[in-house]
Amino acid sequence: MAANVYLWAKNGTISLPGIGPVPFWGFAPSAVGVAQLPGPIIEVFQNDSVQVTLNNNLTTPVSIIFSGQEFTPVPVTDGSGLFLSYNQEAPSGGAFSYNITPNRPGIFLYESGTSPEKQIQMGLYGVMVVRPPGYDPAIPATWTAYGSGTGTEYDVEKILVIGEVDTAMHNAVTAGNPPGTFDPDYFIINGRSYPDSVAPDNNGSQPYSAGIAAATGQRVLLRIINAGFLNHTLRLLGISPRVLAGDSWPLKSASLDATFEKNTITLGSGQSYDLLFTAPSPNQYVIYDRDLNHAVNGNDFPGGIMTVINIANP
Amino acid sequence: MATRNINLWAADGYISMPDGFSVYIWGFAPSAGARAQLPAPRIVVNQGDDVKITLVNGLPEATSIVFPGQDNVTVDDGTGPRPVGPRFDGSGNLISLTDFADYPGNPDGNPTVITYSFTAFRPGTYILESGTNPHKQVHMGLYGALVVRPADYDPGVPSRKTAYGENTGTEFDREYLLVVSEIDPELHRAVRLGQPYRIRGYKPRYWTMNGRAAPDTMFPDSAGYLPNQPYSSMIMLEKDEKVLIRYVGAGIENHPLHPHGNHTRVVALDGHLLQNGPYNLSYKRFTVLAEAGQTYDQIYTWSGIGYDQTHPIPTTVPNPRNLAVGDAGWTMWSGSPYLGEKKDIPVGVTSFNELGEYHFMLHSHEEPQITNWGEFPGGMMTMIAVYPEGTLGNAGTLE
Repeated sequence: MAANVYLWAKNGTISLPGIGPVPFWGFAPSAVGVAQLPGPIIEVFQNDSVQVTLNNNLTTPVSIIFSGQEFTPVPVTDGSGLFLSYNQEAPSGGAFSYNITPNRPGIFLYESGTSPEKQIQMGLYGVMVVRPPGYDPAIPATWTAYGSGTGTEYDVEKILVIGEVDTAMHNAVTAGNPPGTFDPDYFIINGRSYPDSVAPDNNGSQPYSAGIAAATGQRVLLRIINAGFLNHTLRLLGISPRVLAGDSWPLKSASLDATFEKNTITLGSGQSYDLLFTAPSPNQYVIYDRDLNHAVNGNDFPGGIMTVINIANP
Repeated sequence: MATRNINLWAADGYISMPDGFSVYIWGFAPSAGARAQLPAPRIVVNQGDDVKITLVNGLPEATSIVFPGQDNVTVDDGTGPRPVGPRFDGSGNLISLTDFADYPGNPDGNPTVITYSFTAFRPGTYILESGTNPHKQVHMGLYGALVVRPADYDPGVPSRKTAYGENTGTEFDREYLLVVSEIDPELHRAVRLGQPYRIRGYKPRYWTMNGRAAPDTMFPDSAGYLPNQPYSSMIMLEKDEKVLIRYVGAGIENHPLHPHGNHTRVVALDGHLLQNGPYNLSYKRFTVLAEAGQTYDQIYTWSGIGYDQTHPIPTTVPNPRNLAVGDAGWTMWSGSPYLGEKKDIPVGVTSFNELGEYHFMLHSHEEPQITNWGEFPGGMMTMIAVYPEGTLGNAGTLE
């Protein structure tokens, strides 16, 4: 199968609790759409021939790298050999197409490979979901993270992308100034800080809710990926999920079941984990950053990386 | 199965750092009217016990306890038990991760005493900590550890003196609990004075094991000069013994801990045995990264590496002037030979390397964490003392 994906790198603004609009750079899903944080979820199948076309509406070159994919990035250097970018760039006002063939299922970051210490923080990142063979979005019985027989069947799936926002850096970069020293003041889950994180999906620049709803007995797959520069430690209270995969490498194979249960898990920068649990009795269950200084907005708890699982009767 | 009634009083108090600094804390006290201690009174129960923990709030704000790893926790504030859950204000804003005990004199007349209940359904090592303003209250000291013994635990039967039950590969001869954290004195000062504190300025100056910074970590349990830090971190063992070391990460930093000498085998994470049916998932590490809010159970054995009573470790006993000597009659380290010839002891020291035990470090490998406000040595460091066979008696049993 061939899959064609189009992304537009654009300016935009996001909303964070307690402060006015914050400028950011993000990927938009269409020429007329707004930039999103995180970028549009790209959904493809294993072994698809995927072409991602990046249209660059920013005033600076942008590129994309595909973490976890086997492809050959083409670094860009200036005339003197100085490294500029991990991968070929779409120039300002121009476009570039990347071709990849995802050869394994999972969730993967796509993110800027140009001045990534600045551009990723500015918001140029998103998630690509690679579906296993046999997955059919219309048939729940086919829903698995890693294919039939891998013990990864689920009823409810939620992708949670965590990271940080350094609003001073955003303002400085937007004003054309040096980005300064990274010192984030907001901590985000799906581009939002709690309590915004539990608001529903919308069509704006932060479209993805981090709120989770399930019925008792349903199998819930949490797919957590760290797009930030800091380590984050996610904790579930009252639920002990099973870790199915790290960096989309399943922990269970024909010869070894290395999945394990854990209620608190630390994700380094760029890492991902798939967690599975069976929804317990009806109640609200909190997921929060056990690096407690990341579960705040400003100096106040609660905030930051936190969301709620609402479990109801079937 | 037994019902275990445990009372914890949330209170304030002071702890002492080795450089003389006193740190104002909020913590859990073991009795009414007592000062808070760090960490909380250790709770050791048996699998299957009905655990009832009554929290009495004596702090100037609401507080609570979360029990990560326990399922089906209920709370009773006098109106009958109900499942715990996050609490929200009238506007739908979360105000606590779990049900809380309000502060004495609160204008709403909310209960200041509540009881959490759960069945300790799974053996293991667990953290407990505040779920209310945790960005402040956990740092301030409202944390501790819960140890659940397996149902078949029997300290008199070697095959059943285990962390996770017979035939789980977790037999031990001695066990130690190390709850690690860090302290930013500026936060504690701000809370004491009721002043604002800037979270992004978090800058720990002390790193603690069981609420103490080295060298205090090596003092015995209930040392009188550390009245609110009752737990030693000194690990005492004999050659070839299996020693269960339970790490609990109570801070927000990640701490790479390792003992010198031998590796540890990690057998459980967050109270979950690393065993899937026939698959043994335990693994050896030289350094275990004790991450925020997580627990690690390990089996450690000092093999002697060729040394024993008849082949002492060759060591030159240093000049007594060059030894670090405690003023409590307890030397911090000695450099003396393992089971070797002993030399003169400094005047006034009564228990210098009394049995010829051999000392080496267990510490955070992030070396700035083994300082006290910038001064090495200190912080997140303790010693492992290898005693001659048959001399250690009953040390290393958690009650």
